[in-house]
Amino acid sequence: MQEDAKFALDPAAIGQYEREYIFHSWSAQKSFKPFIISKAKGSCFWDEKGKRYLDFCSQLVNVNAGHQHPKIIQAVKDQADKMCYVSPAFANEKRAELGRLLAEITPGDLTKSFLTIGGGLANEDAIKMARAYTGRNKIITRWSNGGSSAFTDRTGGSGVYQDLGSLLL
Amino acid sequence: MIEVEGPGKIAAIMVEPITASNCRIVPPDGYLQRLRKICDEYGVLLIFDEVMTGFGRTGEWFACNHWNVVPDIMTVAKGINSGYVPMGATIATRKIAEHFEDNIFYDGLTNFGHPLACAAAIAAIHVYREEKLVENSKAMGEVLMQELERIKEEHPCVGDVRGKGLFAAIELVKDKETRERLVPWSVEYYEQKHAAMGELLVKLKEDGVHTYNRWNVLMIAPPLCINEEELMEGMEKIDKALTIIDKYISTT
Repeated sequence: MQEDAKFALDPAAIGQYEREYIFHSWSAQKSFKPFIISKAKGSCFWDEKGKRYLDFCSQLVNVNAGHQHPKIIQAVKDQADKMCYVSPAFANEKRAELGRLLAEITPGDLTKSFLTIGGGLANEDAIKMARAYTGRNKIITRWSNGGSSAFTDRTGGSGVYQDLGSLLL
Repeated sequence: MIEVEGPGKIAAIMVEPITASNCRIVPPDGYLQRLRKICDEYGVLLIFDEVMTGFGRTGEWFACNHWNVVPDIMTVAKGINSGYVPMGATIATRKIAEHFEDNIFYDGLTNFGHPLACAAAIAAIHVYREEKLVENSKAMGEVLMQELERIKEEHPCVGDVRGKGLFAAIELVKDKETRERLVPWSVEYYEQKHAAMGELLVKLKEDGVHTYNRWNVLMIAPPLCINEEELMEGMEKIDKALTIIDKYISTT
């Protein structure tokens, strides 16, 4: 089992700094209640008092492999030792291999990946790509969870656009 | 709608194959096939947003695999590397990719395709394969749906349960017959949290289950490595906590 994280700040200071210096997403700032996770493994995490929680939403429905998977951690460590960063203008072993893998696991002839830093930007790039490819401008969406960039806010993801029909950008 | 706007003006239709945080709406069989057909008919591209549904979440590698519908562009993120380093991807068919051989694709940020994120993604994909997590998502998803159906039978406050794989939700209602929502789908909800929904989440937290809701819908999406024991432990706690809502609707 993984050790409890050792924090340089005590829990009270973490909570205070979070409240005072950090903007929190999707909320009126006053409603933010600091909840510190001190350890996580597989389907569970623990709070600072050692209480265990089942993570029934995989954080933001993203920790599919489970928390703190040793093989993913090792891969990040190995890559950090080898080369932390190269600009997108250079060829890179990991990028090349990931592109090939994505083509392999995605259906049909989905082949070429534009790698971004998140889903909202991936959606925005899909819109740009479709517009450039077709030479047309409009995009029809349907209450899709598109992210929160300038484009994708209007695809309905934030939940405040409730037109159950469709929306044109 | 395409005809009203003019088919020659529409670049794409973009949808989540299974509507994700907006209450987990699983389309009926034939829906996505029909969408594909409409797009082909009008020469409009089909974009699937698989950001939340990709990488085994729904019991298949991608949600569109359930209906064998292939989009022209697919977007992914989240499960691509399980969040260990930020990453997303826009994946295009060979035909679209060829267009950009001679035409510039105007985009890119400093940290796009970051080597640390790529390394994490390669490792995550190997983990999904080696540990058969997509298969586990499907198998545990079946256990989950059985449990959800039982919960629906037993609780007056449960109007509907739905999902695929480990991507499910419980819809809470005031009245099982009319399906009147426990909480209205409105902006006001954000400003004035519903007491009973709040109480439900507090109770779950006390009992050691962490999840989130959208209006009257409680989301269930544990990591794909979850075993039956952990899944049932969480479901028993959810089952118990739902009595709060049962009591609430019987007294209001």
